[in-house]
Amino acid sequence: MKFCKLLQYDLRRGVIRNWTFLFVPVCVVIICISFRQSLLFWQTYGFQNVSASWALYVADFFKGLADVDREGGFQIPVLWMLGLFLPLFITLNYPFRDIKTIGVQLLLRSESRVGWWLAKCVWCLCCTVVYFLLAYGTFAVFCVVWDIPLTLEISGDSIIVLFADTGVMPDVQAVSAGQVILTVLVLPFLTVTALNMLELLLSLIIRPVYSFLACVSLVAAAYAKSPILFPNYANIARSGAFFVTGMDGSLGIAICLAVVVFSVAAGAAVFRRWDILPDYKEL
Amino acid sequence: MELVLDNVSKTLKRSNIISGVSLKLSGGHIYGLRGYNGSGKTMLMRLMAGLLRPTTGTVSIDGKCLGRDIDFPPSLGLFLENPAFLPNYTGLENLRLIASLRGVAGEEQIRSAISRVGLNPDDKRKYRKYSLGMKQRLGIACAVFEAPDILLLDEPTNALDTDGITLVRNIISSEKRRGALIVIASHDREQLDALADVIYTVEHGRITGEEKAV
Repeated sequence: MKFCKLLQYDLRRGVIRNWTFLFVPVCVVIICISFRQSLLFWQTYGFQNVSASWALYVADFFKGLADVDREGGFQIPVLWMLGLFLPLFITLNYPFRDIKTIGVQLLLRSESRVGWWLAKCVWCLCCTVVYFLLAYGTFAVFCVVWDIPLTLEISGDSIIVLFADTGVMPDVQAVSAGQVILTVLVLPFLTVTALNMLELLLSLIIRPVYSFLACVSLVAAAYAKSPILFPNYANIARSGAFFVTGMDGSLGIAICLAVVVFSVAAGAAVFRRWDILPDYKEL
Repeated sequence: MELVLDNVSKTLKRSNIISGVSLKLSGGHIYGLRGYNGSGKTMLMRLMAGLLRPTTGTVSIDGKCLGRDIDFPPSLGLFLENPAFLPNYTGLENLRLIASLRGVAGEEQIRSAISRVGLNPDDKRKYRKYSLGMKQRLGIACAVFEAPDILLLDEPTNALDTDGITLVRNIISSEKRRGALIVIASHDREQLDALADVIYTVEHGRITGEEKAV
């Protein structure tokens, strides 16, 4: 009962009243306009059979960075980084700002440190869900406005155009709806969830801003294509669905879930001994 | 109700902020912690509240060890220096929100606590519009509205005018009569002399003196 009350409070304060979510639709609209211009450009240069779809627009958002050793060379994947950094920023401050104010009164009355931590973990998960709902929803609205079909189809010239600016040619002509769901929807969601949970855990050990920087570094480290660096699994330009030598999506699911479970369990253990200090005594 | 600190020490950033403190406190009494700024009074309060975990030693409530058997004292009212509430809520709304967690205090008790500290429960002003003294009063109301068994008050009369100080003293006295175990941390000797049954002097994280009220 107390857990439900805590969670209800967290959702109200940390999700509904979290103004940083407003950045999501703004960013997505800018991305959509940019990608639409790009599609028009490629159509002018002979790719007449590009069939844009909702999934193609979402895939462009999480397209990321191709293998550095392929012929495309290195480019900073700005949109992809934005897609991963924005939720880290959205979930950065709330729990540790709240516990310095009224949150400490709620924590004392909840009588359970583990309950408080679990409520924050569920809050973090809900933030990720809301982030993706807002992003996907904005993509959908854009598609409706521009008469783009709300389908999961990514095939033919669309695939070539999708990866054109990364300088690599995909190894497939079409991907199934199941592959699109896994690569474009599920893996980015799980990767962002794992990053957010890791950030929440690290915020118990170091200051939230350093925790944010540590997770940003982890995303940046995905410059190296390693199965351990899990942000790679949200990188569609390195996905096994499009490239023969790409990353294995099922391994990505396993690693991301492991990071989430570890973060929740380790955070509960750390928070049981965590000192709740006034700001001026902060480490 | 009994609160026992057994040889409690706390180290933060390699510095001993509390060293070997042992106290046995019981319900129906007011205990004062007197000391200069930075002497360790607030940290001692946070250890009693379960917000800090001792590096060595134990804090126990009625035989239950904080951090091992329970996370926090089961019936605690805590007033920390510079209390903070939700800025866009009124005082009443803030206390309603806090009350919703335990569900032991009803609307009448919340309104009564706000009135007792000299605030108007029907005041429509948001917390952010409150003066420093009003914020302090709301903090006191928050600590007492659930009639807790243990009341920890850190500098409760800071920023209060003379009327406010009298009100708070009356509230503390009535909480004592109710049987609550009350600990007040203050650097103000006069205030502690007027209220406390026993006054402990805290210096460099140690209890260096004990005075009983005449």
